[in-house]
Amino acid sequence: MLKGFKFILAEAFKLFNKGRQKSIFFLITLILSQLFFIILFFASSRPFLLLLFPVLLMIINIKYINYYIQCYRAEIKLVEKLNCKPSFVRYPLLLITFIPNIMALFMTYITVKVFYSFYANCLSPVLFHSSPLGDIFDASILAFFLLLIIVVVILSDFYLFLKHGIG
Amino acid sequence: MLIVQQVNKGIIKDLNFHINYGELAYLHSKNTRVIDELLKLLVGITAPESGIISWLHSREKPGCPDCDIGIVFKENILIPDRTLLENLYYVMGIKMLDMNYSQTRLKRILNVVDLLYCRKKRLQELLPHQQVRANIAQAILNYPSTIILNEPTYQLDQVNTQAIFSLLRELNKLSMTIILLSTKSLFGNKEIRFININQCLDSRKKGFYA
Repeated sequence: MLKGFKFILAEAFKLFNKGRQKSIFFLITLILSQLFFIILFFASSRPFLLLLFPVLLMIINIKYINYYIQCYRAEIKLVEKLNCKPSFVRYPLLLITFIPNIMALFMTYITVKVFYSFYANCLSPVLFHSSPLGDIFDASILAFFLLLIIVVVILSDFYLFLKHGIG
Repeated sequence: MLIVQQVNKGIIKDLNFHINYGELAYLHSKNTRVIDELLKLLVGITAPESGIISWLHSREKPGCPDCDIGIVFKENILIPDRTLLENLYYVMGIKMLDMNYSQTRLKRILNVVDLLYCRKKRLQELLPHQQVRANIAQAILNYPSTIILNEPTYQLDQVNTQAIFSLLRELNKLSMTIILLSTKSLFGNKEIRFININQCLDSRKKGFYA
């Protein structure tokens, strides 16, 4: 089990190295899209806008994982030819999608937290002479986003794995 | 030992032959489809419509990755942008082989296939005959008792073909059963047992009066 996990981690790392620029671009896109939706959500205070977020996230994820499947085609073919477990190609691909998504979420969370605390503690008392209302972007929203991301990543990966015959 | 008895599948009708343990057999048919179909049957990808294919060895269960049969495919299946050593490590990983002493094992195998000097070369940098040797190396990573090769020399010249045959003879001396499937005819290799599949297909008709 541990041997297999080590192997999958090493493969994910190699895959990440192969498309490093793409991963960084993907990470930036994710952070910007998340920030955009958070701002949009709090500015308009309309919950239905939040429904657009998983759709956008799914489109971005599908494009990203498709790129990595193309990079990993030789490995997929090798595993298929040798009748080995397809999990050896599935898990590195899944890992490579999860890591930027989770990283983006936490980076967005930290950014919003910093901005909010700056606004609440420094700007708001000076400009509006009022105390902050409380944490708007709290841990429950983070947990909700985390759950949403996990569902979206698994769904988009599952769709692509089926499409490319790795599932 | 491999026994193929009255096997029917697609264009293969009433195929009969047997290969003993430690034998070097050359199965020949002019029809590529017969060769492809036979490979699938021997490896266990497809099951015969009727008849028996039985491997009378202890460990052999065709179709599973940890089985005792190494397969060399017609085309190169190794990853072109990785080095030979990385490729073999990858194959060891996906076959879930024991990674302890992997360095020693890989060196030994590369030494047998005479590729130790180009272990750090990428697959795309290797010559065609070296690629065939690399594919043989991936097949013998778990020291199988049987290797099945599907037209390994189809893109090689006569000299390199003979070199591959001598490598196979060396592997055969290490008590490996080697089964070669090919559409090319075999000339001047008396040590290799030649089995013409077309004759095997007709064997029932010929022996009918006897």
